[in-house]
This record gives sequence, structure tokens and C-alpha cells, in this order.
Amino acid sequence: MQHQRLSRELAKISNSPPVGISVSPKDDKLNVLEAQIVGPDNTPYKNGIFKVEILIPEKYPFIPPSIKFITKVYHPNIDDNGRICLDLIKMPPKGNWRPTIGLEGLLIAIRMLLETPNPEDPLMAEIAEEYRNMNSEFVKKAQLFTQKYAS
Amino acid sequence: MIDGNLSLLIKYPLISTKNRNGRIHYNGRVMCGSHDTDLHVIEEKINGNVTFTLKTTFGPEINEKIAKSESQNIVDFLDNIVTLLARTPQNHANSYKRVLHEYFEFTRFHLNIRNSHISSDLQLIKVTTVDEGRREHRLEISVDLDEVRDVFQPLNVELPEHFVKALGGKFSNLTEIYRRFLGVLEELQPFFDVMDEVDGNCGVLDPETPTRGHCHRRIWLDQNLSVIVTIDPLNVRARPELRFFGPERLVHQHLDELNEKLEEWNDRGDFLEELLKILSLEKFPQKPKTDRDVLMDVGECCICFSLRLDEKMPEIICGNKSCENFFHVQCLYEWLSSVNSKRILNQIHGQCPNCEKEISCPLPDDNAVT
Repeated sequence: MQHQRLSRELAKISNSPPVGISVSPKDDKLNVLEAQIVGPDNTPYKNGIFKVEILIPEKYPFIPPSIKFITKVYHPNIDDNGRICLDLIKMPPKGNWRPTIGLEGLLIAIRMLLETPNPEDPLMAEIAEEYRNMNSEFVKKAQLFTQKYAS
Repeated sequence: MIDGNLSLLIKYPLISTKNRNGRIHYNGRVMCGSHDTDLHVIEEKINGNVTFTLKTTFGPEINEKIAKSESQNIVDFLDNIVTLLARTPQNHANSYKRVLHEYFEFTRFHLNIRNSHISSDLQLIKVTTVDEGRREHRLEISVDLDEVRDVFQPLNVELPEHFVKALGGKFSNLTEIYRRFLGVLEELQPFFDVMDEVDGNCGVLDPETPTRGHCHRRIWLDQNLSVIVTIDPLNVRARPELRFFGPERLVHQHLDELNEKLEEWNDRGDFLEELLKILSLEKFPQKPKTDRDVLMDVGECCICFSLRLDEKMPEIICGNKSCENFFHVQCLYEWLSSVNSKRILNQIHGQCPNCEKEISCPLPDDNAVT
């Protein structure tokens, strides 16, 4: 069952990839995927290519995939280890994962998180603080990270 | 002092200067918005400091503000007065008149305007023009009626970043903005040509809706591989920046091939042919007209994306009219129980994973309480 769903999801994404996103299986196994996200325009992540690793749990889609950034990102909701704070990738009642969301939806949501960070629910308190109160400083550092790690 | 007088003469030619008993009297007219105002100002030295006093009354609010303002010289002082006067509401009528006049003169004068429009509140002007390559370009200009002189400001200009700057700032007339806009369009003709060629011949994935401001295109190469081509609008003939996008092993393999060919780029060659050459392609692969453009077909379970599961069809349909998704009993049951939904007798109640409205599901055969 999982295989059928995953291969359909991957086929759809590779045939009509969503804006700024690519996903493909790492090696031949379907349970480890590598995705790439292009930093959205009008953000300090612009022109960066960010690598993301997706692990598909055995019970997918009843349990959300675990997703983390491999590329370093300077962002209030992404920590040093690439972990992402996003309610869609957590199980209810804490999170908002539902089996109808799927990989494409998740990756689009993550790209949107780059576009609009959520400093109200930060993983990196200091960056969130900076994002709110010294935005130009935040933008400068995020751009620097993008140039250094994502180019 | 001579310098001061000169700039006064240039900016406010209708003001006369008289020196009487150590005080300087300024008398005359200033242009304010589109009408004239008479005024009288006295300059005197008190304890070594030059101070200005406005003798004309424009109402308590304005006079008070002017009295508080600090000015180095008479031109500054008059500037302040003119700015304040122009900002007062009764002068908006004059701003309206001026903007309308400017707009109609502008649209009548320029014949290559294809379309133009001014909003009913006079705060936004839209102009469409056509360039040499018969491409349409839109220009939006915001109108700031509170501004004295430079009322017009180009808005959301869809041009490459570098060229947006040429249209930055505020302008006192529309013709100047338009002249600059046309100048930039002319300069960018080779860039637009190349972008149009790319859009017409390559399987473009991103941007979803390319504008004239986008300098990059993500081009389809294969199922999992695409290349992001970024073109320098200032140097269209030069080799564009190429970045592969896809799984690491494919990217590496293509990068190696590309690196060997990089030097073969010829600035004088045809852009697309040069691009094919360094990508080692005969022609640009076209995105297949896909048969798998949808995740699910009608009637399939929206959890496992299939029709049959252990020989069973999706039996449950969400009762919400705007949802009506299908589920296998087993799939929906497994989801509802994994989020601890309520069990009552042989049913489990919870939320539809698609629309979050209430849904319930019988326990699958092997889980039923007998």
C-alpha cells in the first residue's frame, strides 16, 4: 500500500514539479528521499539551493515523514541540525499532519516557511528575536548563510 | 550672502528683498501646488542667531508649525512654508487638477501608449506600451497627492533588478518616468529576445508565471533533473550561469560533463544553440504530456491512492458536500485510531483527514467487537 502511494506521489512530482522543488529517491530505496528547494525570490534565501532529506516511516502515510535540512539555513524555525519546526510534520494533537497532505504539500509548505518565517513559534529563539526586532541584521546574516552554504 | 540671494532668486524669483534697520524683509509671491500665495517674512539677528518670522497669517495651525520649524536660510524657510501649505487639505483640489492635467497631457502626447488608465481616486496610473519586439509592458505609477512637487512614483516595475533602480524614486512629471521606462526597454531588447526564445523552445518549469523581471528559467531535462539557467540582462551573449537541480548523483555526473564544455561557449553564437552545445544536447527535451498529472483518480482512496486494497473498494465517502472524498474502511480506521478518535460500539468517530469535518467509520472486520 505504501509503495503504491509513494511511487504515485514521486511520479507526479517528477512529471510536473512544483515551483522551486525537486524530489527523488536516494539510491533505489523509496524510504530515503532527497529533495531540493530553491530559495524563494524576495527573501534572503534567494538563489540558494537547499538540500532536504526526507525519511519515510514504515507507517507512512499514517505517520508523517521526518524532514530535515541538510544545507545550513539561518531561519527562526530551522535549527543547527536542520530540524524544522512546522506543525504539518507533527502528529496531532500537537501537530497538524494528515494522510491527505503528501510530500508535495509538505515541501511547498517548507518553501513557504522560508518565505514567511513564524517567529511566534521559534526553534531558534535568538534568530526569531532578531527577525522581529533587527530585521536588516537578520536579512544580512541569512544572505551570508545562503551564499556560504547554499550556492 | 550673494550665494544665498542667488539661490533665492532662482527658486523664488517673485520675492523681493529689502534691508531696513538691520532687518531683512522678504515680500512677494510663492508657487504653492498650482496656485500663488503672497507672503511676508522678516529675517533678523538675535544674539548672533538668524531667525525668521512669518508675518502673513495662514491659520493658527500652519503658523505655529512654521514658527517651530528650524531653518538655516531664507530658502529653507520658504521651502518649509510651501511644503506645509501644499499638504493642507484645501489644497488637494489643486493637486487633483494638476494630476489630471498632467495625465491627460501625457497620454495625448505619447502616441506609443497602447493603453492607459487612472483610478477614480487619482492615486494609481497604469500605462501599457509595446516595444520593438511587439511585447507588451506595463507600468504602474502611484500618485502621492500630499507631495508638493514629486507626486509620481513608479510601482512594482517588472524589470530585472538592476533596471528597476533607473525608475526608483519620485518624479514631478509622467513624461520623465515614461522616457526612462522606454529607454530601459530599448536597452533590454536583446535580453527579452533571448528570454522569449528560451520560453518558446525549452520545457520551462519555473517561474510559474515568468515576468519580464525574471532572469532565470528552470528547464526540464529529465524526469528528475532540471537546470536553472540565469541570464545576465547586461550581458546577454555571455555564458549564463547554470545550476543543475535534482538528485546528487545525477547533478554530479552532469556537472562533470558541463565543466568540460564550459569553455566552448561562443559569445557570438546563437544563444539556444550554444546552450544545447554546452549541455551536450541535440535538442531541448520536452516535458512529456503526462498521464500522471493527478495524484488520484476519482473513486480512489485518498489515503492509499488506490482502488483496491485486499480486494476491497473504498466504501466510505465523506459526508461533507464540498469534500466527498473516498476512503477504504481499513485506511480511515487506521488513521482515526492513530489520532485516538472516539470509539462507540462498532464505530470510530473523528475528523475527515481531508476537510476536517466529522466522519465515522465502522471497525474493519478483524477489529470488530463481536
